[in-house]
Amino acid sequence: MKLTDKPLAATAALRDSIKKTPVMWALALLSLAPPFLTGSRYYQDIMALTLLWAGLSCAWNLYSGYSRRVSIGHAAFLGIGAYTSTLLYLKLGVSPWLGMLAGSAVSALAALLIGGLTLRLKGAFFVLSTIAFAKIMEVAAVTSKGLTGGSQGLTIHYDPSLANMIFASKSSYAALCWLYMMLCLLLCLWLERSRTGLLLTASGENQEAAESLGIHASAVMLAAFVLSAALTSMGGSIYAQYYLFMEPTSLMGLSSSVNFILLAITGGMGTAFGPVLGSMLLTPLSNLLRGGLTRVSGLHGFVLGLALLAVLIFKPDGILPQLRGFAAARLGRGGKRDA
Amino acid sequence: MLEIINLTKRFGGLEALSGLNATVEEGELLGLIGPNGSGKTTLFNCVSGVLPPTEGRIRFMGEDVTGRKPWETARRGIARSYQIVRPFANMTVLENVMAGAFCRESRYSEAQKAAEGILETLGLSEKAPLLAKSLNLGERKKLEIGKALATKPRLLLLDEVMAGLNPSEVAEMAEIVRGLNRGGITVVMIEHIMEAITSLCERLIALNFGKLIKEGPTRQVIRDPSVAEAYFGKGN
Ligand SMILES: Nc1ncnc2c1ncn2[C@@H]1O[C@H](COP(=O)(O)OP(=O)(O)OP(=O)(O)O)[C@@H](O)[C@H]1O
Ligand SMILES: [Mg+2]
Repeated sequence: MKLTDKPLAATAALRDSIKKTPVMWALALLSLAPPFLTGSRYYQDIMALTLLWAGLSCAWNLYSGYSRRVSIGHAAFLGIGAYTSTLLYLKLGVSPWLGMLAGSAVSALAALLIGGLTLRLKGAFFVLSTIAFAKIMEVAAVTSKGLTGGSQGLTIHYDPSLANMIFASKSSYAALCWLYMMLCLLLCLWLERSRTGLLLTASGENQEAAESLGIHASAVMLAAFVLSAALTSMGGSIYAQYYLFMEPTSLMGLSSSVNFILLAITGGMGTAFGPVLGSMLLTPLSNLLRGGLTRVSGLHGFVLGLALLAVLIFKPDGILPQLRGFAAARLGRGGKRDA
Repeated sequence: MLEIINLTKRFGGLEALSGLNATVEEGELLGLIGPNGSGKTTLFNCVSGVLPPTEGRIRFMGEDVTGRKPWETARRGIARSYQIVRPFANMTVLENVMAGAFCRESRYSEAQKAAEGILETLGLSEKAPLLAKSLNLGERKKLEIGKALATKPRLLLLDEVMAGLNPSEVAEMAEIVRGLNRGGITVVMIEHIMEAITSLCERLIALNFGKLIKEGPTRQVIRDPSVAEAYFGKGN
């Protein structure tokens, strides 16, 4: 690889990325098509969820993937997004499009507070504090029955219109999820080639060493954490409008938080396309298994768990870096990292 | 350029630095010696802001920088290397140096150019696209300097950059350090390798138990009985 000094302005970076990872770009762009090619609502449902979770996992990746500091509490932001837009819609008649932005603002604020307190914590303590944060949010949603309906959940009345972000066809939802995924993906691609992204990775790798280079590491990490939370929150609002129902535990429980991570790790955390690939593999698999393995309850989770364990044991960096290494070897260059 | 005034650093009951007074002149290449545990690294930690001193003041370029955070001292022109090297292992060698270059340059392409220039002077250009974790110790020590250099320091604090290197690597490192100093960077180096110190430094400061025991021209300091005693114990 020649180290050119070409200006990495946004458009140049984009061109560069398309050239380097054409297959992943094709996969991401073409993933809009299948929901429009099938008439089956069952498959359209799986496709929409795949795209939504690809976006959510990208949003998680933006902070945790690039800093390598794993948040197991992102479901809290999913919940904040879902409840904020829904409550604004149900109680005040605010369009979910605006509610989505309001939710992002609330999530950003929450991330600012919680990140300010916990990001200075090292390793395992940060991870535990993110779990605790999500648990607190979940319990808060369960207990404030008057507002959230508690564990009974909240239902949004089916009243399809663009302004209400409620659609009659699943393919419209899929298109919305695709847009959301592209937004998260493009932000990650930008980050990968930006000063902020490089400083974020350095700060996550060794905070003290980074600070000695003039990097205000905790500020860089906090900024990325806040952005990641705001993006996740947007996905939460879409999630609510898609299901038209929400309930604290399925939204903010640990297994929801873990899903963000599993998709990213499977595809390759810290790579922009990793979570997209991860979701394309795992979300359909998980849904098909859930549909197919109904005889024994929990069996689909067991099979999925085994598959994930296999990935973690044999390809701990995720699948995308493996594919890249394979492609690089075929092109006769190896051992390098394309940014 | 750097004034250390009555500096004390305590870790619980242990006094790692006690009432230390010292100055570093602009443009010099100063050696800092002393036996293990004498407080050399602690002094670097206080000056660079990694640890706040318990008492005393630190002035840099006429400005009080006592207790400033490390990123603030770095932006003011104090850079350091770590005794135990701290590469960003999963980033490329080029990206490692760019992380330092962003201290002065916010444009990506300019930071990249600056980093490439530094790798060139350190003889690490070949390694630029490799992950830092693939480097050997000698290369890691060079990378440690490269990252610090990229912040365009006025004062460079080098903590045992030659330890663990083979003789030819030591000689190469000595050339690098001399070159940097000639290029106008004030250098303070902690080192145990005497040949390197005597060939590079004109002036030395010797510490023992956190106190300055001797300072002056290199030859004088290393021949001083109190310094020998600190290193080898009381002669018998
Ligand atoms: N962060 C810390 N917490 C507690 N004690 C410390 C800390 N840093 C250093 N010390 C202690 O302070 C004393 C001075 O340590 P320092 O690392 O400054 O020595 P040094 O001169 O650099 O030694 P060496 O030549 O082995 O690197 C030692 O007794 C050490 O154990
Ligand atoms: Mg030391």
